[in-house]
Amino acid sequence: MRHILIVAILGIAQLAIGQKFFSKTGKITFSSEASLEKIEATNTSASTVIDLGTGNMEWAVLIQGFQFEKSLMKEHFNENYMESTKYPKAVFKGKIDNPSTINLAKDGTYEVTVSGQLEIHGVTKPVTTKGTINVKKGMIDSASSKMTVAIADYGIEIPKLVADNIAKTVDISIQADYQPLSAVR
Amino acid sequence: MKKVWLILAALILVVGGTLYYQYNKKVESLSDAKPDVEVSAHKMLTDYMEDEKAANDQYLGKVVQVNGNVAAIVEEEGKKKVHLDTGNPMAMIICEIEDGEDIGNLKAGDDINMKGLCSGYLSDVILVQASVVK
Repeated sequence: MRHILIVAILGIAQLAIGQKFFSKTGKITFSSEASLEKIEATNTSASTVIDLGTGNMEWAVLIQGFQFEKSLMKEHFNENYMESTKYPKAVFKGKIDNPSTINLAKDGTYEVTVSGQLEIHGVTKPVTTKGTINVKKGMIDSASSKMTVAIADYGIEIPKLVADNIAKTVDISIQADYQPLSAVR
Repeated sequence: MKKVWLILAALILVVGGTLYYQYNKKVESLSDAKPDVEVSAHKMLTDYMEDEKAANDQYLGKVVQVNGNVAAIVEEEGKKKVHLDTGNPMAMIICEIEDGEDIGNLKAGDDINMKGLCSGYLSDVILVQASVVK
């Protein structure tokens, strides 16, 4: 009888803590290394939510929030390649495979696979990527992932003149420190 | 004949130099930029919540001067972000402070004018390359 009581209390406690976690300071860095030069930019205000109940993971980032070193590169990125006035965001909506394998009661690093739809430059494509979710003190503490994207897949056109400066694929690093999202909003 | 070569060489140097300079030019600071539009933190958020597309037409990619109360100042990995109160506890105007810009003694509760490039709206409105208006 006592066992059932303890399990019930833990279960309710878990519900109270909740299964949803968010961050407004997600960091996304992309880099593209071509024969002539390396292009890199970072955004530190990506928005992300993980719902362990449904397994849903979502990311959204504002294109004009990417910080570049060189002015011309930033201009080309926004005006010519991403057309960020027309398509101000990049969004990922996906699901963690087997979210039940993430045990909030057990601290540790969990290797996960996430599959979903990635929308860049107004074009949506299915993507699957591996990542890690870190659990600490009964909550999701952080998550990170790396992926490679082919820019042509998203209708991004690079003029022949600068084709040697821009690689055909871009490496993207994603990281966020999460907080619990309270049930009462 | 020699003169022609000299002029040509000078031209190539000037053009080459200009191209090199343009190519390597760093992103310009916005701290002295004149704002394209001025708005209160409350109104800016309301505009975005009511009609994101119309709000983007008005603010996206523009230097916006926003007036409001500082709700919080957050620092992460050396980057400071000033959150302006909008009246909505769930959504702020987040001002990412430009590298090298000083926010002085700014603290929560201060009424302030912030200026930055509007990058759009996620769950908050985000200004980048932001600074305190002097």
